[in-house]
Amino acid sequence: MARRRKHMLAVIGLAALTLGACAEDRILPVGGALCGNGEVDEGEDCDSASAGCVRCKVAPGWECDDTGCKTKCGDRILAGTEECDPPDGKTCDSSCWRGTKPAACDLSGYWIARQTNFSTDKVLNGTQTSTNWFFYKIAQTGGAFTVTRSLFCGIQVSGSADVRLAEASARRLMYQNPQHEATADRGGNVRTGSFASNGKGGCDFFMAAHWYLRGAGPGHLPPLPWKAQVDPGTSSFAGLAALPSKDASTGAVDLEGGGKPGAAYDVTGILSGRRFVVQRDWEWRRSDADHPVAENALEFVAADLFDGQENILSVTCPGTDCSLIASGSFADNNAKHRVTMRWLGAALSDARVRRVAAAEPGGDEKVDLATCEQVRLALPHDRSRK
Amino acid sequence: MRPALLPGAAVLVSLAGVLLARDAVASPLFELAGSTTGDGGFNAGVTGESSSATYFNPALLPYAPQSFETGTVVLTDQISVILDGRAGGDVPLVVGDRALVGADGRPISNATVPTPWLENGCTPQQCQPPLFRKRPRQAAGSSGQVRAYQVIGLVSHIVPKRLVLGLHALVPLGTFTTARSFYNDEREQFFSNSLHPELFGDRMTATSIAFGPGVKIAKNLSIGLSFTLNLTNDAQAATYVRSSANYDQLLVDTNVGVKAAVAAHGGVAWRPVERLRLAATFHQEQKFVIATGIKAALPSGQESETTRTQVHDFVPWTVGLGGTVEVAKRERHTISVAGSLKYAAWSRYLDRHGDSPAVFGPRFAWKDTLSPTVGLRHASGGMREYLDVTYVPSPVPEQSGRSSYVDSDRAGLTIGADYTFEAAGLKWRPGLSLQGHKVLHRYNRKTDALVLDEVPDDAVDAQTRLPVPGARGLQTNNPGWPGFASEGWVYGGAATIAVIY
Repeated sequence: MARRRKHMLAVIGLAALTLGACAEDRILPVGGALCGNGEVDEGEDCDSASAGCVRCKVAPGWECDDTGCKTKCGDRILAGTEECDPPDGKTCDSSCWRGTKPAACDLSGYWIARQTNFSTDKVLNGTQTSTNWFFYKIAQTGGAFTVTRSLFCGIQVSGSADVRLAEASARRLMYQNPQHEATADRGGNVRTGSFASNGKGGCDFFMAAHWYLRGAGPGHLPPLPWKAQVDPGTSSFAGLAALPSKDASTGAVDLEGGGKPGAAYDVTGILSGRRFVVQRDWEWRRSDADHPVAENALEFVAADLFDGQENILSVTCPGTDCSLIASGSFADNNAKHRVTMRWLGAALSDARVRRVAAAEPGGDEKVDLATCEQVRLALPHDRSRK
Repeated sequence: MRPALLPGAAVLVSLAGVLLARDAVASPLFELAGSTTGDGGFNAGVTGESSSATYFNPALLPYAPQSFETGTVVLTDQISVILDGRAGGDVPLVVGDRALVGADGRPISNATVPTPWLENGCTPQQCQPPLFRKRPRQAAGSSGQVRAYQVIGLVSHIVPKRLVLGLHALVPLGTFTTARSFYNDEREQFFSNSLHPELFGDRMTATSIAFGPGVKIAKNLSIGLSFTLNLTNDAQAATYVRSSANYDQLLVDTNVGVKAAVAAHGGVAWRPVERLRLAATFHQEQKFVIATGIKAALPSGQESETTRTQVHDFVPWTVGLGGTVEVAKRERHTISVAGSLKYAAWSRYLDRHGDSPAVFGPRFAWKDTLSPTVGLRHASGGMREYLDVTYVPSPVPEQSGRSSYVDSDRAGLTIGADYTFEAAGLKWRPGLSLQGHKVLHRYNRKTDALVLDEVPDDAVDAQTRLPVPGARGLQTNNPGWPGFASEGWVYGGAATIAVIY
């Protein structure tokens, strides 16, 4: 009997050993109260003084990262400075700002625009997504409109490399290639278009072609008046003066004022450095079957037809081999380029306009820089290809 | 050739083998499990005359009966890794934009990703598809595996009791051999983002085959020399990267070479008196080397190439000394005590990426170890039983810096028995053994100053030159930070049968 008991104990002991000997990887909880130390610790979703971060948990309607919290437009929760949610394009735009556009198929008023284009880099054949931002004041009579004020609010490119205009170049380019006037030194043209009812509850939108030149002097654009449409299928740059290049830089302009001709772009990411380039491109905009425009739309997306040329004049980089950032990109003619147009209001005193612009553009550079920053925040860089 | 010259010729052939030896695949499995045939147990370098002596001490082969052995061994490693929770230290999301430079304007290293990407993956708002997938900390640990092996042994007396050839193999069933590499520092964030026991896991899948002769050169003195055999791999991959974002379009040519390799092991057994045997062994350093050449060509006309050498299943050179003595002999019962001491040169260790742990600093270099083993043996008629205990100190120093080698001291126990009987004109010897190793609890606390700060404090936004939020202090994705512990078990058993003829 005693022997049997010993055997039983041995079997139970072996079973206990086996069961207790299973690997279990785990992470221990962090001890102590760390909420409020400004760092996102384990068990915390956020740790900042924002209204979106309550007791280190993200409040409903917000999203947080280590740079802070912002409201999440589209989640159907009113939070922070949101005035509506979800956006519907007619009374609530994609920043969740409320508004009502009284006149149908009428562009009169203040607008901001985000132009999204796709290109392919010449090193890795990767997709580059670029955003150009604009601020517009537009006057419309009947079905025809004219741009009466405009600002160019910068470029951001992401993809194989991230590219942004150097600050000094961005400042200079804000007034280059104006869309409301033609000047001898800054180029430009008065941009026009049409916006009229299509009789099916929507509007037909057309914005005539505009040419842009960066980092080169006058004489490299087609003579005025420009054609309202440029056919992407033809060689649209044929017959124009050759852009300045690395080997023949005559005609390039030192936009940054640092002694190197060309517009300065900072390249960061896998590759890093500064690029001095000349660029020439055109684009025109229209609604189409893929991009219908509703009457009274606060915000709409239209097709953007686009092509461009780029020559890299020189590069500087921290390392000794700058060759990789000396390779540029070319427009992806198969991509669906697009422009997002958002109506702000009819007058500067309108609340929606005041959120972006404190004064009429073109009066004060500091005010205009602040306006452009708000434009970029309101319509952030969007990498999606939809 | 006259029989008297045979032993000398065998030794010469063996020496030639040593001279030709290249990097060999090792037998960490033999070293862990000890002898799974006969009654060698953890003291197989001094006792246990069976085919396993081929590896542990070929000088014992002349005392082993001519036989064929086979059986099954099952082993499992159950080692838990317990990470301390992280209190801050995250690499900020803004690092993902790669738009940071140091105060000197030079770009910061690309050798990190935002910690939130590791926890949750990169979102479409942050990255272009295909998106960086999440790799939560310690979600891909590698322990907790049960593995089975086929044991095969052969002892053949070329000159009875004088020149004896042995073969002993432990072959994994299922996956033949796994060689899995991982980094032991913050670089592992890009892969499993987990810690892995350094001396177990894939090392327990190493195919282990030993062969060689033992020679009795005097009435009470024998020597032996054997080899472990396995493969050395050379792989070359030439690629043409058509698109960095779509590797489906990658063009690849490969060139793989496999070479056989051997490492030598030897021993001496001396019986000064009938009841006492002294033995000494040496085992050459063994490692399984995979050299991978990678060549990439880009559409821009640029080419880059490198060769990376992976080292798997490293077993250091070892020297062992020991003995066995009969302490009681009464009628049919014999009781003996065995003991051995093994010196292992772990200071020469190369990890799976071919790096010496000393690259992390002299204080993190591994140490040589001295492992004692003692045991008892009892024989009565055809029945033999044994029990051995061993203590194997860890060669790994405290991991307070960048490296996070997971290892700790180990205490092992094995018991076994076999029984010899005659049937069908042959002698049969079935045997059973069990073993368990307690991998002792060990805790390593990181010293922040010794861990790599992956985002310099002076990092600024490349465009605005403004300070980067979250760059102050230490930011690291080292999976072992701020501290980690490990403990567990390795256990298993063997069932074998020998046919003695």
